[in-house]
Amino acid sequence: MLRLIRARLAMLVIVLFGVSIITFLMAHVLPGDPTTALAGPHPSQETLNSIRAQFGLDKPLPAQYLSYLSDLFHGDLGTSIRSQQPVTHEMLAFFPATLELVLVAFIVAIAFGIPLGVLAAVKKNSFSDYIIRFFAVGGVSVPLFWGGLVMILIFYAKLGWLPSSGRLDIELNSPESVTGFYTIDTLIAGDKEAFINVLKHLVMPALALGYVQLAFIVRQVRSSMLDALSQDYYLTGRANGLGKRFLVVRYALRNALIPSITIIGLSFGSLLGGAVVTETVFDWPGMGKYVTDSILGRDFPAIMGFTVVIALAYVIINLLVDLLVYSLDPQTRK
Amino acid sequence: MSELVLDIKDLSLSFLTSGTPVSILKSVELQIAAGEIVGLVGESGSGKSVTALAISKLLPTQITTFSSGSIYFNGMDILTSSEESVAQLRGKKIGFVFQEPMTALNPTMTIGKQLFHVIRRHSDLSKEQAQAKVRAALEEVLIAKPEIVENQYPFQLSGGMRQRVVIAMAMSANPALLIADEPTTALDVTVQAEILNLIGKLAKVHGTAVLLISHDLGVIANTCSKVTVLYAGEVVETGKVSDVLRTPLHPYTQALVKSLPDIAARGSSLETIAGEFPDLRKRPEGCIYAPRCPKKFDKCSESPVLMKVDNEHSVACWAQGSRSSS
Amino acid sequence: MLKSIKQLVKNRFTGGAFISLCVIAFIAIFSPLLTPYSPIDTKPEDRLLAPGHLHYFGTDELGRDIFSRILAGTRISVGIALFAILLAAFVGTFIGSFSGFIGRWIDQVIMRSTDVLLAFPTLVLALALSAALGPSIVNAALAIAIVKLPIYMRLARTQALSISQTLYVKSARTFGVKSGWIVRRHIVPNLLTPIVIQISLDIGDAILLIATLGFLGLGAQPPTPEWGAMISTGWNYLIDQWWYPTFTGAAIFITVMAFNIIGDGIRDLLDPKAGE
Repeated sequence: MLRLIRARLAMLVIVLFGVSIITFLMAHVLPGDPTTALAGPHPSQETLNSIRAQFGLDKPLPAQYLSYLSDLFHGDLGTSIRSQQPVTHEMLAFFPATLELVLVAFIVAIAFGIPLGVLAAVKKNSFSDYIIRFFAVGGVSVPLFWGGLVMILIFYAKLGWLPSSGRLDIELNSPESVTGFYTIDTLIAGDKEAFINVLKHLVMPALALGYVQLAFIVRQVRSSMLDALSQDYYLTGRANGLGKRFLVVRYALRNALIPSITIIGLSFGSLLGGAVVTETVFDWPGMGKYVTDSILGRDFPAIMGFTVVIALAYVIINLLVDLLVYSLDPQTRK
Repeated sequence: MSELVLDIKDLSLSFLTSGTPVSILKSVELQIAAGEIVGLVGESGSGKSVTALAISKLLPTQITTFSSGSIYFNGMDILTSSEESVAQLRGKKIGFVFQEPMTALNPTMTIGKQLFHVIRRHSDLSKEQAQAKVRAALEEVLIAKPEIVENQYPFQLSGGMRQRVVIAMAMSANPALLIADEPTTALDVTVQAEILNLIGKLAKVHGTAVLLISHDLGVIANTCSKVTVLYAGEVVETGKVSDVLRTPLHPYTQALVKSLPDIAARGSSLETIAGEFPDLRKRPEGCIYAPRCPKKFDKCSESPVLMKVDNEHSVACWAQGSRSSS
Repeated sequence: MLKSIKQLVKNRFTGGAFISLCVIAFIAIFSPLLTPYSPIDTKPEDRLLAPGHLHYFGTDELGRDIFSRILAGTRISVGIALFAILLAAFVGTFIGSFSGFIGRWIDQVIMRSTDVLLAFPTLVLALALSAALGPSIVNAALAIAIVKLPIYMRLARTQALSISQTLYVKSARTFGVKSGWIVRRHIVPNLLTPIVIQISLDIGDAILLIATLGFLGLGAQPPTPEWGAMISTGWNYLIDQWWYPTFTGAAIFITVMAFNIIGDGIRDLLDPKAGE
């Protein structure tokens, strides 16, 4: 176990090193130079030079990279062009909102995705299998922003049941920040009205984002389950008269989970990417909304800061997933 | 004659593969009395495993069609019984041992747990009693250190050890019938003999009837008292092992016996069977073996039925049938 | 080929998707002949008309027929997606098979770089790349190709590794046959099936990515009738002119779904183990 963690941490360092090179290249070498964005139309050579000097862009590339790397190492993601604030601070402020949204979406996806995938596999080629498969292929095909749009049209514009934007009604005060999760913070504050309001705001974004993930999980679980159900040990279990429910859960699902979890972990990336779109659509004040605003404002340090943070988060999640799979599979455990 | 544990009569069934029905078994007959060890021999694709799975109703229901016959287990007609009542028999009255010990056990559950769940399923034992029974069951299949093995996962055991565990599971409820489908094919030759001896010994101690399936007539010869020879889903010959091996009557059995290394005379080359296995999508008219048979004659265009040659020896061959009637 | 299509159509699921795909291909190829109005020319007096018999899906804020713009957009979305995926598949297969075949430190470096590319969530990398390259549809296509590249590199490498261990390739090597020839003659043909499966599974995703980049303002720029960009503009009219973004989104949904179902069908057909 320790050896695996050590090997994976070494990998992580190499990968993060590579990540820093890529973001550096994107920010400093590719044609969309931030200076032009900053200087406005028709800048004088002087203005350009002074901006270059201010951002250290006049130095040779390797020197620029080293100072970029050293900044990253100290947790400094640069200064936002729009707000002139450190990107790290802004990112930290937006992080809990994104995490709350992503986690709720993920829980929804797991809670419904695994049972639906199991059901579809056990009842293969039945009517319910077809319905579930159709529902799942829809989920991986629907553009997230359009899914959100349809939901807003129905539940906000037509029925007026749910709010279409933000985390909380403006009239209500945000809860005192303990965890940064409004659901938990409102509970801690004992503000029932705010809690319900927060939940109402969460429903649409979490469902829109969760549906895509759910569809993915259903497809993966169904296919690993079909594989497990056709294995010899499942037949042995049946021939030994074990109960259907026990067989499906402890024989098939238990083994199907090992490949499924690896793939579901990888798909967490699409959840993080999807959060960008979802937050834009539902005006959710998280990192995703922050980055799309930065794109419109040509705020390169913010965009690249976001990219680095998301890559870091994704790499860490995959490490955790590996450890989880490791602990589930007796063959690697011993 | 003692009570029949298993009585298969005129069993015919077909599978639906990519839209076309394929006739897998035709008029199969098989009887096993209590305490008897009967061999079922044939090459791969002859329908041995299908027969075995049919007994426990483990064939995929969506693609299987039974066109005739019945399977009586202790007098109960399996084919007309409900899934629930057959499920009651599995593991309790009918034990199963499969060919591939490497994949026959759940890879993510310890040996002890797998046995434990099977034992609890078929008895009213308390957890502690069941735990003790796990030990005893492992000891009975001659596993040296059951207290270690029960905490191990299948991948930590050798093929022979795993097969012992599978046998322990199949025998744990003391079933009336043990079906062993090629139990030694995937194992080393030295281990094969140990496993066969173990099955024979357990059957004797518990009075269990055994259906031993193998493609290897040698395995059958050493273990069974009776043998049924299957070719392309049809029984071609059946009788006492000693009779069938000494005086095989069907040309196919004769070819099988000749291809046994220790029976074929030293120095002469082993015989192979000419021709190809028939296409079962359209079962040919007449004797199924005729296209490959060196002794075929006009009569072989009609399907032969099993004919008694003497008390327990029967054969489905016109060439032999004419002799017996004389 | 014909037999495979027959097999695809036999299933009601894939059959429906196959017909939709034929219609989509037809629209993509002949859209200039099919559009009742110009997808580009503005007509301010007709702005934001509701759907009716003159304009099936209504008009946008500049009086352009949304139906015509959706038809014209088919060619852009499907074309760019195909271009991006084929580019990724071609380059990725080439690099990957050489990497696996040559091995040694080159392979190490190439594989670590795929690790790095895969450390970014697809959409986030595509977003950062097209932001860095500057918003245009060509850059969006390039960004998608880069994002999809590592999958093909790995796929090709794994296959190349196993094929180069086979006896016939080993013996070809001992006889001093040039690597390039072995890769072309032995490795690439064996790669085709898994690569084709991957391509067919990726096209739907690429269409979604293009639309998403367009929606975020990073892909096609106005007045190009690209679906994602259209929805981005249409968003401002969501409440009062709901048809504007809704029909466009439905077009994306149907197209991607058709591609995905066919992709699944092709996978099941070519690799029966994987699906069912």
